[in-house]
Amino acid sequence: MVQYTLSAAAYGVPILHALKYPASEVLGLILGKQEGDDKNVTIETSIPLLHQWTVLTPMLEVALEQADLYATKRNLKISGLYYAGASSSGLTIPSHVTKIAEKIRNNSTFDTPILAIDNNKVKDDQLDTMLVPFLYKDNQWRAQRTTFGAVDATASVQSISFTLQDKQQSLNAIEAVLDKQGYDKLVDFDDHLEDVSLDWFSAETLISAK
Amino acid sequence: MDVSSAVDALRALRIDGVRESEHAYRYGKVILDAQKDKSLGEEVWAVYEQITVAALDVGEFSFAQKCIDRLKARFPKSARVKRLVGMKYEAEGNLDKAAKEYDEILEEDETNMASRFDCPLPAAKRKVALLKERGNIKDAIASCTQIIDNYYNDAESWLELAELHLCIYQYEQAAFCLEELILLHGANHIFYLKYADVMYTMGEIELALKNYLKVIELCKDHVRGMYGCTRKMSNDEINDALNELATERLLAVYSSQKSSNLDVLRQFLE
Repeated sequence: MVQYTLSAAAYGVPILHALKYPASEVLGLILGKQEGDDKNVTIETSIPLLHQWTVLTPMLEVALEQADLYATKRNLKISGLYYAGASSSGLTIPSHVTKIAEKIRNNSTFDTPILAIDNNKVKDDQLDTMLVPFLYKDNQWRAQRTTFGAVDATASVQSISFTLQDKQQSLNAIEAVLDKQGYDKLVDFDDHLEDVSLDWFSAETLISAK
Repeated sequence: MDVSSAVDALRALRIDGVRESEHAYRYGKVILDAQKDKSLGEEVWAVYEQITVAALDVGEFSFAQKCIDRLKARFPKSARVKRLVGMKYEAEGNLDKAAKEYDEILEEDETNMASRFDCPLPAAKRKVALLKERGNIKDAIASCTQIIDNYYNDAESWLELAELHLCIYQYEQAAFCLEELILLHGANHIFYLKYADVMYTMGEIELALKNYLKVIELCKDHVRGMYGCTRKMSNDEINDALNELATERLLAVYSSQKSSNLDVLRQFLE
């Protein structure tokens, strides 16, 4: 069974990014690595990229190149993408996003997911089900149901699972940031391009799961 | 926080053109709770509009209704108030009722030529927003195009149309809108920047680079413009020259701003 384990920062940063820009589509990267004989994947952190003109490619390319260099420094790899749509309805991933995700997947030695934010769950304040992982199978990106504690009772074999490390502690840490509107301090690549003194790799420091 | 600080804070947000609804709502609450709106003088409209929209953004619908009621009492026949009523329906998810308000404003205008301040352009724009929220991009484009037919100089509409075209990957049409914006505002580097970004996305690297250079000509050391110049075309000589320019200026800007990302930049530029 392939296990993907996310740290509090990896899970929380996409949510903070979406909440900072509630009227916009937001995109970011997740960084992690695959280790050990059981080939488990740990996603250690997320890097917020864009919140405007997300269909256009040049700044995205620059961000991907720099994020790759940063990841290597931390002994990690770009392990997928996260995405939150602008509109409040539905959970479909548009093709400009799947294109990026496919590029990342082709450059990876393991199966890299898209973590999509379910805006309905944001409306209902359901933190533990806000992120829905998608994996590519049979030419399609498919939502995974065995996620973050919820078990798909209909599946006879649990072959893939996504878990949040130290689940309750992590959720509490993320909740703490949300309560103080701490997402205002999040810096993404777009913010960095407006003011380069802002560090776009620092989003994870907003969430401290002690 | 006292009323005059709240009023100042709201004005600062308006000047900067930022929404920051969570803050704006709090400032608005201070003013409304103190019942000091008479002291707002000429700013009354701007402030009420701002705090009503802010309240809608954060889901404080009864506060928004209070603001709308206050405005209705002072300006009973106003189309601007009607538009806010429409926006409240939108925020509550009642898109049909919202559309009805906007349609009524647009009909009124045909018979009411005198009201310059109650112009229907904002109502027409709300209709585009409704179509967008319903996911109906093609009709939003048609609606937005109609606005431009009547208000050719409205930059906001051209920009919205460009974004709508990009939603459905119609790059050439988006480029056309940006060309019109460049014609309307030839000194605004942002339009050249967006045009360059679209050109690059379409694979027109040379045109993209030309426009990135225009950006940094109009706005010295523009970071996005300079990053654009690091993109490569098929001519090595030009690539080298552009890269040298971008390298020198990006390093200068990152150093002077004491950016924590200077190391990654250095590696990236190698």
